[in-house]
Order: sequence, then structure tokens, then C-alpha cells
Amino acid sequence: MLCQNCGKNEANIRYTQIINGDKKEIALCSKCAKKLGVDELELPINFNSFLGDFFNDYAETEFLPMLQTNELKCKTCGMTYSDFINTGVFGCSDCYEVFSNPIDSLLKNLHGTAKHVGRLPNGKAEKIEIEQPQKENKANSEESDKENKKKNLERDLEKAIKEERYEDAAKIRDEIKEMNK
Amino acid sequence: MNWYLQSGKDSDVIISSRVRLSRNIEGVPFVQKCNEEELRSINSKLKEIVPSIGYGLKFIDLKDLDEISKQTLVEKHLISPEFAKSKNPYSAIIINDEENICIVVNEEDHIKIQVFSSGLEVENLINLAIEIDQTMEKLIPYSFNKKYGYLTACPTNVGTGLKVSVLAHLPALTITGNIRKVLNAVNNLGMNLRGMYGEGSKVEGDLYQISNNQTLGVTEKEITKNLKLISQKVIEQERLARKFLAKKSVDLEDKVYRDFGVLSNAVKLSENETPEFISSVKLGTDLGIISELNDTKVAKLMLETKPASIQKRVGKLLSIEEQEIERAKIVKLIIKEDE
Repeated sequence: MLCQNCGKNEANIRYTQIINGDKKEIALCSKCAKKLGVDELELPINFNSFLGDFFNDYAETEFLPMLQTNELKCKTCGMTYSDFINTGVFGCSDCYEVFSNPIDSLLKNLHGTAKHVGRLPNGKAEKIEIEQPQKENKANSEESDKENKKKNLERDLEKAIKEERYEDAAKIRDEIKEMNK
Repeated sequence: MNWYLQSGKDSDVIISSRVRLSRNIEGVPFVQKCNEEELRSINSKLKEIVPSIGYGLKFIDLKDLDEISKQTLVEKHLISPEFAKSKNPYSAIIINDEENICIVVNEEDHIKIQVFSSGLEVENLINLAIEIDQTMEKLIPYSFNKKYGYLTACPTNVGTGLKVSVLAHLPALTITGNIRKVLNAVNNLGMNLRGMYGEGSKVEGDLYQISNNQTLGVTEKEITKNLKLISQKVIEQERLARKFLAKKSVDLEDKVYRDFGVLSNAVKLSENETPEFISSVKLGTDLGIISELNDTKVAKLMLETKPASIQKRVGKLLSIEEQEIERAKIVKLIIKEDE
């Protein structure tokens, strides 16, 4: 294929541009690519530099004047708020306390909330099991659900034994035992 | 057989699942603000507790791995490309022989617990990750805040520190031009769906990653459940698209066998073209069009044709052309392999 810019040289670079999902592709030779500045274009963009700007923009609408916010400094690691805006990462655990005021609204923007509801350290972890949505539709009482599950397990056990999958069978047997407790 | 060569649940569409927990050690600054002494102490603290974690885990300093070995870990998605380039002399990984557990030390956070499986397997993975996490937190106190949960360097990971992700193969949605609709729908549901980019700008081998965005204000169960539900929706859509393609069976069969023909006969295969051919023959295998391959062979094709894996196999650095010749040889061997 010939270069779509000069139409002379063999194209060896394919440049794709996606704007709002609209995809445009153009084939270029390395000469034209260099001329158009698409040759090995590697902008120093990373997630963190985006994040900083995003936060900064938000902070301007805060009640705290920008200057004051920017002067906030974590005594533990020496990180300032403007450091955070530049890097997008915090320096230590205490930063979360020091910058609590400006970041609360920003965390809400990122996660929809600023309050942890997940596991706690040294807490008891329950095994996570996800029931299939189809089952949720049925207004089964918990009791009959349990009965069904037991029946299924018993069927699986029989099958496993028949197929000589003893390791599986032992697991299923233990599960049934657990349910009978 | 390692997890990445096995076939798992729904593995016609979902290649693999991963669960990741980001953690930091209490009273130590995050990696970016650590001095040399602090980095060294994180490294030795983790080295010390590895035997107590169990699971056959081994501690490996990143600096002790050669470039090709590091790149093969990247190709298996066990570590990030950025981490492989890390200049931090105290970076390390804690990994087992099955390679389904890989804990990364001194990347952005002190500790990144990762567990992997083939197919759609997010529930078992989250339970395994939490089990490891609980063992570790008894050995090292984590940095935790009542309000913000587990603290991480980047506020996008704070709270649960949990990212669940699956790698999906979506060729039919791509061929039928429906991939954009799926991308939009998934992204609107607060999940992140993005193409896995290779060297070029094209999505490599029709592979996409689905992962959660939100880590704070949701429970581990909710994150896992939502990701599973969305993955199942995507699987459903991809299978519908495949059914549609199968209606024009002659065209599809022709395309799949043409690509299979190139793979089985070419003398040189480039890094860019190979994922496309493999994507096509995987689709053909999953739809029962091609009987010459099976799930394990397809998984091998996907992994063992990557540049570092080829060079690791040969045992030396190769030029691009040598790699292309070697790649064609390996592909032929895998196709002909006895089961």
C-alpha cells in the first residue's frame, strides 16, 4: 500500500485516531509520518498526570482558598498538596488525614462516596458466594432453598462416586455434613 | 499444567480472571516517598514472612531476573510492563510454581496480592486472595483508616484496594461491529472495558479487559458480583454474535481455515499478524469449525508466540527476523503436537 499523504513511498505506519468512538485510519510512509509528527509519538501522559489536573480543577471550587489548600503539608512525609496534584499519588498514610478536607469531595467524584464499607483488618471474612440472578426471582423460602441445595449435592455426590472422582466426592460429602449440622 | 494453559469456565469467551489487593505496611511511607533504608526493610520484611504464608511461595528479587524472564512474566500478565522496567533495587515478586499467585513487592504500593485463574472464576479467586490477605495481615500490620479503609498511594485504589478483572476474547462482537455498543454499556455501568493493545494501535487479537473502577464505598462481594454479572452479559452478547456469524457458515469457515492455513504453513510470522490469526482460529475452535486444535493448544499459541517466550525457549536473544522464523516453527510444533 502506498502512503496516503505523499502517494509515492510504500506505507509502513498505520496511524489511528479515535475521537468519541469515531475511528479514522491513515497509512503513512515513515518520511511523512515524521513530517506530520505521528512517528513514534509518545507523549509523557500517564494516569497520574491526568489525576492531578482533575483534582486541581475540583479544588478550585472548594471553599478553602487555593493558596491555603496548596500550602497544606504532611508533617510525616513532607508531601504538599501541590506535590500530590503533580504526581497523583500520596506519600504516606497520614496524607489521607492531612488532606482529608480537599480530597473528600474528590473521592466522592472518583468512587461516588468517601466512606469505606468493605472488610476490616483482622475481621472475620465470610466466604463470598454469588447466587445467580435467576434464582433470586423465585420467592423461595430459605428453608426450601436449603433442601434443594442438599438434593443437588446428593445427586452430585452419587455422580462423582460413579465417575470415580473421589476427591470431589469427599468435598461434596463434607459440604452435606456441614449442612446437616 | 499452569493455570494459563488450562481451560476454565466459559473459556470460549473469558480467557482468564484476576483478583488484586493493594496493601501498604503501617508506619512506613508509600514507596514513592521511601528512602533506601525503608525500601530495603520492606523487602527483607516480606522475604522473612514468605515461608509463613505458605502456598509454596518463593521470594525472588526482581534484579536477579534477566530481561527475558521479566518480559515473559509481563506476557503472562503476571507483572506490569512498568514494573518489569523498575529501577528500584528492592522490587521483588513472591510467586509459586503454578504461577497462580504472584505478590508484587515495592511497585506503587508496598504489597500487591494477585491471584489468577483461567476462565471466569472470580468467586474462588476473591476467596483465595482474602485468605492470603488474612494470613499476611497477621504477620505485617497494614495501613488502615476507619473512614477510608485500606490506604493506597493512589486514591483510585483506596478502600477495599480490590480490582477484579477478566480478559475476554470478543472476535464476533468485533467482526459484527457491535463492540462499541458493548464498550459504552459496560463503561456506563461503572466498569472499565478496554482493549489490550499490542505494539500497534489495533486491539491485539480481539482481547479486552473488564475491571471495576470503584474500590471505595463498595464491599468486596458487591465488586465481585457486579463484575461477574457484567462478564456474563458480555459472554451472552458475544455468543449471540457468534451464532449470527455461524449463519453465514461458509464465509466464516473460509476465513477461519485461511488463517489456520497461514499459521500451519508460513515460514515467517510477525508479532503483529500472529494474534489476529490466533484470534480467528480460537473462534473456529470454540465454534467447532476447526477440529485440529483444542483449548490447551490455543492457549499455548497465544502465549508461546510472544517475543520473550520465544527467546526464553530458544535460550538466547534473537533479532526480529530470527524471532519471526522461530515463531512459525513453534506454531507448527504446537499444531502438530499430540494431545
